Amino acid sequence: MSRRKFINAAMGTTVGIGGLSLLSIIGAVKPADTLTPEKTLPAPGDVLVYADPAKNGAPVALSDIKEGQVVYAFPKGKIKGVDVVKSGVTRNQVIIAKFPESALKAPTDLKGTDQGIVVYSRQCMHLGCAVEIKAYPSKNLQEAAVCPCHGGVYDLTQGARVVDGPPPAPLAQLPIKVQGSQVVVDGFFQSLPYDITEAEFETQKKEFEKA
Amino acid sequence: MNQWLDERLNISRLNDKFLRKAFPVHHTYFLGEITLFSLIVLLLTGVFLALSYEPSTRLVPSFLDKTQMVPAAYSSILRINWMPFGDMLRRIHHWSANLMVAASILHMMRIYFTGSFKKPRELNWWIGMLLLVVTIITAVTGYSLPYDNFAKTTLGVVVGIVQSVPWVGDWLAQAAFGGKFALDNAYMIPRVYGYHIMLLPAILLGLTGAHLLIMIKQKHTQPQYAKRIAYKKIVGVPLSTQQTPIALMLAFLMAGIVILFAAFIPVHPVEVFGPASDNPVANIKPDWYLLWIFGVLEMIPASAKFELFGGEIGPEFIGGIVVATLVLLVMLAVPVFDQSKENLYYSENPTDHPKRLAAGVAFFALLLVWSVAGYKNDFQWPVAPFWILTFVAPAVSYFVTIAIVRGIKSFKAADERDRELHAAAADD
Repeated sequence: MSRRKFINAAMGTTVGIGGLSLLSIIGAVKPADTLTPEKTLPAPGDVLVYADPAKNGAPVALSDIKEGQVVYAFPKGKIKGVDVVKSGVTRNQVIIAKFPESALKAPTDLKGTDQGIVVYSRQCMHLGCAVEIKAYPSKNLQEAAVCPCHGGVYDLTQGARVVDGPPPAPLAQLPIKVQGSQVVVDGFFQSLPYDITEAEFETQKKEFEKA
Repeated sequence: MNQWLDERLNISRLNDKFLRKAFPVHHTYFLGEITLFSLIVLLLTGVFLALSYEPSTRLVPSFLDKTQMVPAAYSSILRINWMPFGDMLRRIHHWSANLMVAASILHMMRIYFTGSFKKPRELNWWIGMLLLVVTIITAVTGYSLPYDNFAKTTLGVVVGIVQSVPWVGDWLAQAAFGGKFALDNAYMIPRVYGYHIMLLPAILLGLTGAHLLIMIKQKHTQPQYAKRIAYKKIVGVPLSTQQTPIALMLAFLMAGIVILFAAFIPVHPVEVFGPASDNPVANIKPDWYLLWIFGVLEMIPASAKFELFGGEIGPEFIGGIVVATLVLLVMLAVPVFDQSKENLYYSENPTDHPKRLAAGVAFFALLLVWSVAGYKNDFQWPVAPFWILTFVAPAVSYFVTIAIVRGIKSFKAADERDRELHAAAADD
């Protein structure tokens, strides 16, 4: 072996091993994904409570849910026997809207509505901003979910179908029923909400069904 | 002292080799300098801001209202605002960032329209493009740091765009921002802070150094008047000492103007947006230099999605990454279209190259259309006109520019003929 060959080989080996060892830092950049109780999905039996911090997590009163006036809420449920307001992720904030029952049309999951009350995740499916509720005259909507970020518009009477703008999917509907004076979750999101993979969604669902 | 230093550091050689180098003087040649000065102002004010800023999403009692729990980053911004000249410091930093982006874009336009990217300066064009991109990324990470609701929404959108990359998006976003996007993600703000004050400025400084050294090595392009004075000779004034006072004056004038702006026009008043929360921000818009991407994101319809080898390609990926990458590739490709073998000495007159001029005008017309599309949502405009304008506006501006250049040329030619005629008449 010539001296040049030896030095080249030695250099190549050290660069290779050294370089590979430096790659190990990449393993540290992505922290483990831990699911805290506040970040779990709304589950059947959860009670919807006011998202407004001033209301201190009180259950949403039926009298506050009127046509033309929405209420923002978080699901509150028991995780391992402890009451938890699931406000840890934006997708769990939901819009409670009320329409005349005849106004609600497919693809809304009508079984998941009660007395014309329909509930959707408030997080836009495009890039995850929280949507606002306002009139959208150019599409003849009195009460539409409009994303302030890139103009996604959802029709709340038709399963939050996308009527304008870029969102790739409708807002996820959360089935509910009215129990006494409370709004109670009656199932899981009917479609994938923002920022959760199908696998994660299914795992969490199974976790709840076991419990 | 000079002699003492010279004996140890051989200063006179540095002086002869670098500091006496002559640089041309022309009013459009200062745009790059302004970019550099803004960077210096940003580094100086940034150091002071970093001394008082706390990169954390941990909830603490608000600096102004102890009963309210807000993220520590937000609270520290309130504290900086309260410090003597603290708000000024933030405003100067923010205005300088705007100025740096603006000056670098104008600088790039000057290089493009005068053909200064041509051989041998292609490398510096590419480095300049990288500088522009890194500058913009630095700016975005910067206005995410206060962690007010505007910053949080911006960050959410940025994370969403990274996440939308097919196949690796989820991993990429979690690696870059320390896990999933959440209000209380403890890693996120320290990550962005690290990028903003260490990684990106280091890249910026390195690239700036390379940009300047290459410019010195290749020599600055000469203005047209230099051709008449001394053909293929360098016409200009030496860096030391004649160019130095000009540069200093420019730097201080710029600093003065930035400080005037900062004194009278507030930027990013965090109290208006409130601390990061789940509530939406009405009429949210990115800074002006990203408005075109924002517009594109609004224009790409919901139906623009398909699956490719198990990866999901959606409107957010197309609008946020694909279009931006294409635009950047077009810009990077500029020197490739020029096939001249000769080295360029003189800045060219833009009207001597009508096609290049028109292509540049068309390019900026397109960005303008997309930027206006960013306001589509506020006025509930339909999307169709913007799609039509996306094709029509660049085409129209291309041909109008060429027509105007031709018009000017024919006027000039007519003038010339007139003058010759008169001169001939006077001879008689």
